[in-house]
Amino acid sequence: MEFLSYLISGISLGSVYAIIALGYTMVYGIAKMLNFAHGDIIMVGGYISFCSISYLGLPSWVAVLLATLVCTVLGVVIEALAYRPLRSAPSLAVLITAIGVSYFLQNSALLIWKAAPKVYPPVVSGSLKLMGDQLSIPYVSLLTIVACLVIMAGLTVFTSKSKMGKAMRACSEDKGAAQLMGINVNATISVTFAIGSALAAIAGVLLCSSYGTLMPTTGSMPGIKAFTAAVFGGIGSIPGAFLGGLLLGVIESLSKAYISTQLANTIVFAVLIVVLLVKPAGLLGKYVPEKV
Amino acid sequence: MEPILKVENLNVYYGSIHAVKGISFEVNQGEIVTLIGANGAGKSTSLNTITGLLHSRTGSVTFLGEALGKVPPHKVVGKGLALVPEGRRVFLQMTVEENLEMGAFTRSGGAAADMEQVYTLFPRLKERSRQIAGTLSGGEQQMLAMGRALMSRPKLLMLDEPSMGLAPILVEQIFEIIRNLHQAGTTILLVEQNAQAALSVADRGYVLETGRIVTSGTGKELLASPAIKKAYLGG
Repeated sequence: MEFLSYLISGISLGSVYAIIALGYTMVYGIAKMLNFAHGDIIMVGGYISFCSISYLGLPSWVAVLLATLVCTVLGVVIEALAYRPLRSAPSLAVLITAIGVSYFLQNSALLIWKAAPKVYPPVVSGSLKLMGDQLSIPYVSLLTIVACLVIMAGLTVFTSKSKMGKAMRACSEDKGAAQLMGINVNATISVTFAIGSALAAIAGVLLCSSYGTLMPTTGSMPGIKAFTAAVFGGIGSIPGAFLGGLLLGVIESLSKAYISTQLANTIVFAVLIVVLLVKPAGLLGKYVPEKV
Repeated sequence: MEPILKVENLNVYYGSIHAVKGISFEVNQGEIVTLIGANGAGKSTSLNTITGLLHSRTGSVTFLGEALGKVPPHKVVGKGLALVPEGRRVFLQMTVEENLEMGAFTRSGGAAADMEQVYTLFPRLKERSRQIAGTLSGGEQQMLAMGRALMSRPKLLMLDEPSMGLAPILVEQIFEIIRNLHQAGTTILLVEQNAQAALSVADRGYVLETGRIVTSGTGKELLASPAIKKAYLGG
């Protein structure tokens, strides 16, 4: 029974990682850049929803909607102002810019909302009691898992069926050839940032709801973990991000429960290293050789 | 009659390297025109500049009476100018059918009929329509790249080294297809290192050497020219 509860909390944590990792991996897949500011969008999503609920007294679902909207716009604006001018610059320049954007967001949050942690009002409270109260699953965990599944299914359909989704896959493979098809690469990248940032906002709400606190550095660690999850599953791969996120969450949760809380991250990264040694492209990373 | 494509005094640089040095040529409606020359002569650079993937420092490209200089590359195909790039560059992780759909990206409808036409032209692609393009052979990928370009219903089809890296029997097939497309009324600008094959299908040809056009003429004239024979056709 104990195991089951750790497993479920691991899947829930993993679902948050997966939602964030999906944004990371899509942006990487299409813009070929690591957007290290992605984690801080989570934090902004957290603060926007926090302010909507606590200061404006808006209902939770409006708060979530507002957070998603603000983060979507923020993601697109960041891309246009900070990354687009560097489109043909060396990738290191873009990487450093992303780190700069990350600090910019964190310090802006520090300025606006101060360093003291805020108590985050969960968007859903209570828990589901099963098996005569032996197993208690917080509703927010269930919501997180369901949200992750819905998002994953939605993105899969979007990228495989819609015209824009197919254009994204084309851009991710070959931007020059995509342009020859008439695909506007800049617009496609903007849409990708919009989707990724909207997902980050949702992840922010879910994360803060389960942890109950919020501060300017809230997004950093989950951001890094989600990046790890994306690499774990094969960066650029959508199912990979999903699988990587879930596995990472479960490994982390079970390590904390049965091995050591302090060692949990060490174990997570040790597993990552072993996986990358065996499968350098990650679990589901693709490598298609060129035919002659 | 106005030429469909007119390139005037084009100069293209890669940094400080002067890759294309003031070339001018034109393509008329219904023609196959070929640019031949050795590696590094500036053939692909010229095509990539016409489509806007590269920028010229001076000179102009006029397509159907419109200057293309300021047109972004993703707008060019909508104007009726399609390029089958060097190395095919099909989307390896997408299916054959999705690749063809991408070719019709700028069109609002009627792509289904064109896809049938492409499948009639390349029956092999129909057999493999659900397969990932990365699993196709090199020749099939070349067919896919050509089919994909045709999906945009181009008024001018530009082919960059379609025979590159293919076995001789496939090269023959590809040139057969080029001949068929031409007979069906497609205007073609063909860039090739395989001068013999290119000149035998072309109405006219231009010979490039280190970024300059050194000679031009009809396909027959160039095939018969002793200088061309010596330089490109092995004596």
